[in-house]
Amino acid sequence: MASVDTLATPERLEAARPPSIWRKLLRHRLFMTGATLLLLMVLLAIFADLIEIRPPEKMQVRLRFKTPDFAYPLGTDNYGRDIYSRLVHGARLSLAIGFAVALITGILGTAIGVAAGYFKRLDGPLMRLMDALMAFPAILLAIAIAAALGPSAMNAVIALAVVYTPRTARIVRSTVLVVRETDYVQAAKACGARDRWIIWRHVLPNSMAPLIVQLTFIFAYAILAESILSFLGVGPPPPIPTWGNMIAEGKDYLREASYICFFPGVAVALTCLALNLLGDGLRDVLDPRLRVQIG
Amino acid sequence: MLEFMLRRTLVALPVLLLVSLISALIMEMVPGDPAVLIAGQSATDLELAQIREQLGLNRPFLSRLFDWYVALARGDLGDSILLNRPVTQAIVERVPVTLALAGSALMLTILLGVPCGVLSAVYANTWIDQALLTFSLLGVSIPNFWLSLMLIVLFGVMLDWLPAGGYIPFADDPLGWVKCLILPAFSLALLQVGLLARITRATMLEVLQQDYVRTARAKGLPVLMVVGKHAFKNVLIPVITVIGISFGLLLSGSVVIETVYSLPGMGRLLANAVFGRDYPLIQGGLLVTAAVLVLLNLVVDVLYAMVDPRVRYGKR
Repeated sequence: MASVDTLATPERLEAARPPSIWRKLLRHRLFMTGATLLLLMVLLAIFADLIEIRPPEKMQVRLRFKTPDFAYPLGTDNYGRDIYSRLVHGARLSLAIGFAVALITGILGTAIGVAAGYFKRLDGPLMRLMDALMAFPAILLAIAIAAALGPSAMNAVIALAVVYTPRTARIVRSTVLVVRETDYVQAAKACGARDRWIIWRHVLPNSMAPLIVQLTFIFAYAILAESILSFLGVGPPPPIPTWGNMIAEGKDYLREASYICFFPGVAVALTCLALNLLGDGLRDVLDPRLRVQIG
Repeated sequence: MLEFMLRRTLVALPVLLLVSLISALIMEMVPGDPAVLIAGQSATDLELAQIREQLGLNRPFLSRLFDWYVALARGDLGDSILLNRPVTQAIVERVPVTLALAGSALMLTILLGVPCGVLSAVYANTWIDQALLTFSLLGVSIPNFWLSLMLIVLFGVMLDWLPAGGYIPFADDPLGWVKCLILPAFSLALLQVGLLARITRATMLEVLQQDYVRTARAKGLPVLMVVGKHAFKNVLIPVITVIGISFGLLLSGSVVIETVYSLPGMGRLLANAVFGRDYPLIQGGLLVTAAVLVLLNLVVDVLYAMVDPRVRYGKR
């Protein structure tokens, strides 16, 4: 006679099931730190117009180089513009550029990666092209493309997408190569399923985890890289308040007013830190095999 | 071994060809007339015509591309518009400074990164590990040009310990040379330190779980000795990997770092080329750095195969 204790009641089955991805993420301390920090930045960016103190481009000659105080929490810059307000608006542009780069890179990288990984004939030519693009130092290629296209937010996105797409494509390809050989894909093929159906139904869903992790990191790289492009004068042109532009404008006044440079740099670092923490957490939960990430 | 080297070289050749093609295409991406962009809006027709002639803009693209390859075969990358002299000459002159910077940054990276990674692995999942992990994440997140500016304020202006910028050749004043490289090398190294530490940590963790390490521990050997004797050898592989990856990052980083610290290296040359829209110089610089990286990766792969025989026999 079976004892009551071994009965598989629905409640027990529920309790025995491994914790869901969401549950795991919620319990991941570093992930939650990153998520909170990022959420804060996103809120700043969304409500920039509401929480600004002054219009970010308003110059006040009498109020130049004011050190941080109650009226100007982060001080004013060399044109008397409020640094706090510019910082908040900078968040909008930086996050938008970073997100756009991650999105475009994700779409292009997936398309190229799936094509190369699934169709053997395309593999060689596509990956050689990706190798060639990856042979250039990332920032250097981005700078050269942005310099050729001309300084604007749009061109910065294009330049960075060109630079980071090969890195994404390579990762997608390597997972697709594994998925392609699995039994369920072979079975689907044997049943006469068309390639398009197999890719949508099997290959794509099973290649998502490493892609999402990678895109989080690319989001971070892109924000960092955008600040470098702006700093070198090939990003969105001044007086647009990007964090890189703010640092570039402040660098001539380092001796007298180092706070002009200080705060935008902290903003970049915090945002990238948030995204890196997020990416690490996602990787731990979604894809524990990929422990070491190589930029 | 020889076969492995040959195979790797054959893979590198089409990549090099594509790299040169991409470099050549950069100027084609300029919307409108590059000559106007270079000479400025106020340029006279004569000046514009001169620049077009110099860049070959008045000829069709394919003929220009052909000429670029013919010149390339002779080791000629064209003339810089700003400097009014051959691009190769300008680049070669600046290489020593960039090598000094990249070399010292790499040394700092290894000196800091390997011990951090080993510590993290030995004390895995303790507060030491967590602190080092956070530090390495910070290293990847902090924009290094901004860090440089802050270091200049702190050490160059407020404390006045180190020069805020500029370069003193080693031959003129060895101590001054070291002093003017400390801040730039540190700023450049920070990103790689985290990277190397994490790779070292992962490798070490794997090694520490091996049977022979457990046996050594079971014999009663102290942790430090086991790590030093058995596990440490395996760290060589990630170090080689990082050197390969780092060089690209270092060259990228040098563009910004040399600009901030006004070091007369290749990076600043390219940054100035970008500011001045000096396309021949941009193209040449891109091509040279990429080619160097491709060759370096080749060397790294061969080193790999020498250190770890498994690589040689694995299907590539």
